[in-house]
Amino acid sequence: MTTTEQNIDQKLIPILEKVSDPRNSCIINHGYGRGAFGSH
Amino acid sequence: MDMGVVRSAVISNDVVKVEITPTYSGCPAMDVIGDDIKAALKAAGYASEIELILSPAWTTDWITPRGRKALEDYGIAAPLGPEADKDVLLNGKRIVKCTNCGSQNTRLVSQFGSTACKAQFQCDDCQEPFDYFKCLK
Repeated sequence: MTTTEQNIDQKLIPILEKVSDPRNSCIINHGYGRGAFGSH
Repeated sequence: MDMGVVRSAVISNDVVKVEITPTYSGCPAMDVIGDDIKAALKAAGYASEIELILSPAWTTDWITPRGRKALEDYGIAAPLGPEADKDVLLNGKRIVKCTNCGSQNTRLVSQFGSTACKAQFQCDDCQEPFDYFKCLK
């Protein structure tokens, strides 16, 4: 699933979705209060 | 992709050109995201170039419904609307649902959570600490 503004080649979606998996995403992996970043 | 960070990915002359936009300028995660994308594409046999795009600025509106669900499933409360965000972050209204038990009996612990785009909350029913992804527009 993509937002309307995205322009992503359909062939690449399965590859990029692996990166989007929450278990792999660095945005989310820093969550839950145990992150590599503090208040700044 | 479901976070709306990947803006485009097109194949041009056997090279995948990927444009990514940070959730906020200066986000330290962008280098890692770019490296993760490059590694995934390399594993699939593609050379790639990553370009950081700052305009238009990322907004939480770009998170897809599936992305919001993935955040919640992982324990991060998805962003509310801008007005609700002001009530929550500035007036302390208890609107953000606990991602562990679903209670709205939650309170703001810190304006900044584990990253600057999130705030730290705690549930006063189950005591679970959790991040809330701030509304950015």
